[in-house]
Amino acid sequence: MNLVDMNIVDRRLKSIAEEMGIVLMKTSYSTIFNEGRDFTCGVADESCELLASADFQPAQVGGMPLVVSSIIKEIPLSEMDEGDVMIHNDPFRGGMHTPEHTLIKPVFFEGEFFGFSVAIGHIAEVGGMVPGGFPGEATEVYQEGLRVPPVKIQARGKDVEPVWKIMLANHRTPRQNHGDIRALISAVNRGESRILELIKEYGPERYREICTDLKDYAERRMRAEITSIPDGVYSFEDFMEDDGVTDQAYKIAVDVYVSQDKIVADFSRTDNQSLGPINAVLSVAWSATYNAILHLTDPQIPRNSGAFRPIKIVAPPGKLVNADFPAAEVGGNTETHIRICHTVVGALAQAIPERAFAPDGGTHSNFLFGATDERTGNYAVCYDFTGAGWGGRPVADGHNATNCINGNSRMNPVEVFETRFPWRFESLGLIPGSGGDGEYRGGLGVNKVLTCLSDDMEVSFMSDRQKIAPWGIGGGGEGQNGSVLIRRKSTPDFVTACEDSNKTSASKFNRIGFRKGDQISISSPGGGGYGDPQERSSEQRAKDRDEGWV
Amino acid sequence: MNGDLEKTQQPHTSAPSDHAAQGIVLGIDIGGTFTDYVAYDKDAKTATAWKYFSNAEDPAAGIFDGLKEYQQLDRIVKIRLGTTIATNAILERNGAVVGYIATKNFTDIPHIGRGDRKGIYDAFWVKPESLVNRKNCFGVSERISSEGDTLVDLDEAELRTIGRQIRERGDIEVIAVNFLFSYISPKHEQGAKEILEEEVPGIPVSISYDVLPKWKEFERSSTTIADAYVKPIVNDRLPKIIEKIGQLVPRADVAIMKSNGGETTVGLACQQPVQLLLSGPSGGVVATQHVSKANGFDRVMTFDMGGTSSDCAICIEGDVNLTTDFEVEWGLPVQIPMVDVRTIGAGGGSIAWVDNGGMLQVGPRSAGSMPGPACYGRGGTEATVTDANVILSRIDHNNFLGGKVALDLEAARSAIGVIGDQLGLSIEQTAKAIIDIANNNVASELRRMAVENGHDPRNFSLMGFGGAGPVHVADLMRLLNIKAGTVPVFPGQFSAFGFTCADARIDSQRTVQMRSGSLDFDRLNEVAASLRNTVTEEFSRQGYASGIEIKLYVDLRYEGQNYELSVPFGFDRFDQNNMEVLRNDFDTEFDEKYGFCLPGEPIEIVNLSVTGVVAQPKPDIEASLGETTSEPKTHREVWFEGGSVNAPIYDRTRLPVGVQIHGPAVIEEDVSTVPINAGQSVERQPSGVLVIKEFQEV
Amino acid sequence: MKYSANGLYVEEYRKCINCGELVYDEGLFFTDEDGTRIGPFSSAWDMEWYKGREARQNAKGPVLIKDWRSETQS
Repeated sequence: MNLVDMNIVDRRLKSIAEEMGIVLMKTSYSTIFNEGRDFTCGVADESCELLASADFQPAQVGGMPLVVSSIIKEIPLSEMDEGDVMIHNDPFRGGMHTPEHTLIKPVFFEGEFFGFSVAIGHIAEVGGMVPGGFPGEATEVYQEGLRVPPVKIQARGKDVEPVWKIMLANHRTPRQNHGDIRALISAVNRGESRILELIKEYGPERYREICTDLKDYAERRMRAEITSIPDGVYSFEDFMEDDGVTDQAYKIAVDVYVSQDKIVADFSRTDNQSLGPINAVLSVAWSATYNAILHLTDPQIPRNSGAFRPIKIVAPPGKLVNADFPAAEVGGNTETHIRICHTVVGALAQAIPERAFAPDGGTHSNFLFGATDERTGNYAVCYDFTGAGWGGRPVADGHNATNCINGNSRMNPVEVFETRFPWRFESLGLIPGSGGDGEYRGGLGVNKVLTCLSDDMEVSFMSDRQKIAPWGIGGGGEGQNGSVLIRRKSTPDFVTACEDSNKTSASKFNRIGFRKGDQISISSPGGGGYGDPQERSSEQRAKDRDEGWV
Repeated sequence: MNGDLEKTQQPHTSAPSDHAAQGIVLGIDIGGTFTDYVAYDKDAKTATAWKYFSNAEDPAAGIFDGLKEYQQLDRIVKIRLGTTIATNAILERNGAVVGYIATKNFTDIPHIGRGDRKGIYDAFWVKPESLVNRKNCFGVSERISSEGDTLVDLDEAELRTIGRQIRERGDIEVIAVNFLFSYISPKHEQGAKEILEEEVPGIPVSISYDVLPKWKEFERSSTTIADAYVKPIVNDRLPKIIEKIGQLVPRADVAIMKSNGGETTVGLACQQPVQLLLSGPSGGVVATQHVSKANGFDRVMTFDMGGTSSDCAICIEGDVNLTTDFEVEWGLPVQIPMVDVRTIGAGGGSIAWVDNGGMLQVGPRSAGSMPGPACYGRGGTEATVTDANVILSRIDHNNFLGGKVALDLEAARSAIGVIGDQLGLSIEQTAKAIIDIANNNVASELRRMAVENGHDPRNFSLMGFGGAGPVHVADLMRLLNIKAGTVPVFPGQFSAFGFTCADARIDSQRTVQMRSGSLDFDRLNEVAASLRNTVTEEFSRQGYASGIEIKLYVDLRYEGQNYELSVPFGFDRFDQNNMEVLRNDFDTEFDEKYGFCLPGEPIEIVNLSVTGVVAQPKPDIEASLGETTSEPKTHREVWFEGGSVNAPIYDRTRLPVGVQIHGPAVIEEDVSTVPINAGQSVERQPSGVLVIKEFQEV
Repeated sequence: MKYSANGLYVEEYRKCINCGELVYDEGLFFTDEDGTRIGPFSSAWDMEWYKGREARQNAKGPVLIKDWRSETQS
C-alpha cells in the first residue's frame, strides 16, 4: 500500500467528480441545476462501489451507490458497450425520487471494464399532475411524472432517439429538459475521459489496487470515528406532520445500535407508508442516514463506499422510510430526508452531545407554479424554495435562512425571479425570534410575500413543519413553525390553503388558482436551540436584542 | 474623520507623456512582511529590485524607509503602488460602521444571502458575518419594477428622517444605498444620494448603481457595502502614504493599482476603494501579461507560491482574465471586474501531518511566516513543504535568499523525522512524499481553474514565481501534462515588476437582460453609449484625453442558462445584422469551451461590458550578460524522482542565453531555485526568462 | 424482483423483509414454528437480525453486533 499514491489518486478522483460538476453547472439550462446546484457527480468502480463524489447535494451523495448498483442489476455488463450512457429515475428500482435522474457511463480501458462515471441531476419538470413536480396531493407514483427504468439514452455514442422522444413528450418543458440532459451527458463524458487518463497514468493493475486501498482507508477512518462513540442503543423519533391527503402525522423512529466500530440504524418502529407523497424510498433512507453520520464524524473522511461499510440500515418494506410500489414518494427525498437525518442525529446526540447539533427548519418550502407570463406570452414553470433556520451547535448559533441539511442550493434573487416569472415581491426578510432559544440559538427563518401578476397562475406546495416544531437539544428551545398563507385581492386577511381552498393540508397542496393581485406569504421555520438558555452569555443576549435577532 | 477626502479627490493633471521618454518607473508592492520594489530604468533598459520590511504600524513610514535605500530617487518619474489597505480592512474587520439603506421591506438582503454553505457535512462551520450590522439597516419606500417602471416614488420625507436619525445617532461613518432594479433605473438611488448628502453632510455615500450596476440584489449589496466599509480607512491612510512618498520623490506621478490590473489616480481610488481589493496580486497578472507577450507565450497559467498560500491565474494571448465572481471571504461577493486570481491553501509553510487513517496529508494548516517552517529556526516544530525541499536539497540550506538567511537543516530533519516515524519511511522518503502530495494538491487546483474557464490545462504553459513557485514548476508540468514551464525575471518581486508594466485601464459592466426574440436595440445602444461615456469621462478625470482604446463585450448565454460567455462586439451599433454575427461568434465559442453548441436556440443578452485601456510604455529589459558560463558553479546531492543524484548547480545570472541545460539540475538565484527533472531542459531567453521543456517523452 | 417473462416490465417488487433492499435472486427464507415460510432476506445477517428483534428489546446493556460484511461477501 503506497500512502502517497493513495492520497494523490483520492484527490484526483475527487477533482474528476468536481470537474464533471463544473461542466454540468456551466452548460445546464434550469436554474435548479446551475443556480440551485441540485446535482452530484461521482466515480464508481467495477463493483459499483463509489470511489469519489463531488460535494454538491448531500441528498444525492449517499444514494449514489445504491442507484448505480441497481442499474447494472437490470442492464448486465455484457450488454454495455463503450460509448453507452444509461439513464434512470425509477424510485422503486434504486432511484431517489422521480425528478432525480441518474446518468451513468461505463468506462472501458483497452476493452476492459473499470466502473462508471456518474451524474445525478434534479430535472424539475417531469410531467405528472402539477407543473414543476412535487404534487402535494399525489397518492401514487404515476401522478408524479414519468418514470424511466434503467435504459440506454446513448448507445455507442449515438442518441437512442426513441428514448429521448418518449421522455420529452411527457415533460412540460422539453426544451429546458433536453438542455439539462445534454449537460448531464457532457458531464459523464468528461468523467469518462478523465478516469481513462488516470488509469493510463497508473496502469490498470495499480489503479485497481489503489482504489481498493482507498475504500479500505475510508472504512478504517469511519470505523475509528464510530469506535469513539460509546456503545449502546440510542432511540429517537420525530414526525412528518401530515401527508397532504390525510390529516395524520407519521412517526419516524430509529434505534441506532452502536457496537464497537459498527452502526446499525434500525427504522422498524417507523410508521407504515403514507397515502400522500411524503414516502421515502430505500435510497433516501440510506442517503439520509449516511448524511447524519457524515455530519457527526470528521468531514475529511473520503466519501467513497468504504466509509459506508460500517453502517447498516434496516428499513423494512412498507414503512414510511421504504415505501412499496406504487406509493407517492416525491416529497421523500426533499422533505422526509431531512426528518430522517435529524432523527438519526437526535439519537446519536444522546451518545455524543458535543458533536451533535439541533435540527434545521426541516423543509425547503417547495413552491411550484405555472402561469402565462403576459410580458412574453410564454408559459413559465418554476420550482422555487426558501432557506430555513439551522439548529444551534456546541460552537455557534445556527445559520439564518439556509438550505436544509440535504441540500446546498442557492435561493433565487428577487431581481432574477421577477424578471423571469409573473410575481412581484412585496417583502423579503428574516423572522426575528424564530430561532429556538438556547446557549446557542437556532437560526432564523425567512418570510416572503409575493403578489401574482398573472390570471392563470396555479400554485402547488410541498412543505412541513407548520404544526410540529423543530426540537431543541440539551434544554434548547424549539424553532418557530413555518406557514404558507394566501390572501385574495378582494379580502383583507391571509388564510391557510385549508381555509382558502378547502385543502386537507396547509403545507402540501396541488394547483390552487391565483389571479392578478392575489398574494402568497411563505414563512420558513427557524432552527432548534442547543443547550440551556440560562447558559447564553449576557453579551450574546445583548447582541440578539441590539441586532433584532429576537 | 477624513478631512483629506476633498483634497485627494482632485484629479491628477500631469500629462502621461511627461514620463514616457525617460527616467525611472517604480513599482511598489506593499505586503504583510515585506514591501517589494522594482525600478525600471527606461534609459538604461535595466531593472533593479529590492525588498524592505513593511511597517504594519505605520505603512507610510515603512515605504519611506524602503525608498531611501534607492540611490536614484531624483530620476523616478512614475510610481505605481499596490496596496492591501482595503483587503486587510475587510479581513481584519476594522473597516467603518456602515449604514445600509435599501428598498423598504428588503433591508435583510445582506443578512439573508443566498442560502448555501461553503461545503457540506461540516456541522460546525460558521458563516462569515456581513460587513453591516442589522441595526444599521434602514428601509425607505420606493420601488422600480423589473421593466424599469416606477411602482412607488422615492419617499423623500422618509429618507430625510432616516438621514436625521443617522446624523443624530452619530455612530455611522459611511452609507451604502441599494435599491431593487437600480441597474435598470438608477434615478431613485441618485436622488437618494443627493438627499443624503444634504442631510448627513461629510458622510460618504456609495450607491449600488455607481459601484456595480448589475442584477442580483445580494451580490450588488455586498459589493456596495464593501465599498462603503473600506472607504474611510482608505481615505485616511492612502493620502498619508502618497504624501510621504512625495517628500522623497516630489517629481513623480503616483498612481494606484486597481484590482483589474490597471492604474488609477489616488483621488479616484479613494472615491471607489472597492476597486483596490486585489491591488497587489493584480501586479503578478499584469507582469505575466507583459512577459507572455514579449516571449510569445499564448496560453499561460501562473503559479505564485508564497509562505501560507499560492495564487494562480490564467493569461491567454496576453489578455488579462477577469472575473466577476470574486469573494473576499466565503459569502462576501465583490462582483466588480477583477483579475481572476485564485488563492489556494498550499504554500511553503503548509504543514504535513498523518491523519487517523494513517494517510499523509499536507495542509490546509500553515506555519505561516511566524513561526514558519522548522528550518527557519524560529520555533516551528512541524514539518512543512519548505522543510521537505530543504531535506531534498532542492533548496540549499546554506544559500537561502542568497545566503542572507541561514536555514536550520537539523530542525527540518527532526520535524520531518516525526512524520517519517509514523509512516515507517526514511526522512528523505517522507520529504519526497510531502512534496509529491503538495504538488498534487496544487495541480488539482490549477486544473480546476482551467476547467472552470472552459480550458484544458495541457494547452498551457506554466509560469512559476513568488518565493517558492519556481521550486515546483518543473514537477507541476509533469503532473499537468504541460510541455513548457517558465520562470520570469524577478520571481520574488513579480507583482512590483508588473506595476512597472501596467496600463491605465477601466472595466465596467451593466445588466441589460434581454431575450433574442425581443431585443430592444435602442436600449442596447443607449447602455453601450453610456458605458463608453463612463470610460472616457473617467479617463479624462485621470488626465487622459487621447490614446484611449475601448472594447465592448456582450455577455451571452442560451436562454435559461446561468453562466455567460463574454463575446467581443466589434461594431459601433447594435442592429439585426450585427446581432447575427455576434450570435455565430457565441455558438462557436460555446462549442470550443464545452464541446457542443445549439445554433438556433434562443439566447439571452445579460450584460454589456466595456474595457477601456490607455496603453503605457512597457519595460524592455535586455538580459544583462556579464560574464557567462555554461559550467555549473558546483554539484550537490539533490533528490529527484527515483532518488538522489549528484546534480549540477547553475547560477541563473551567469547562464548564457540560448544554451540548453539538461536535467537533473538546479538553477539558483538569490530569491529562488529551480530544480529541473531528468528528461527536462532549461534555457535562458534573451529577455532573461527561463524556459523549461520536456525534451523526451516521459 | 420478478420480471415478466418477456423481460419488459416488473411483475413484483421483492424486498428483503428486514433491511428493505431489493432482492433480485431467490433470497433466503426460514420457516417459523407455525410452519410459515418467512422471507425473502438479502443475507443471513438480515435473517438473524430479524429473528433477534425480541431478544434485543429485552437485552440489558449494549448489544454486540456481528459484522454483516464478512457474510454478505462470502
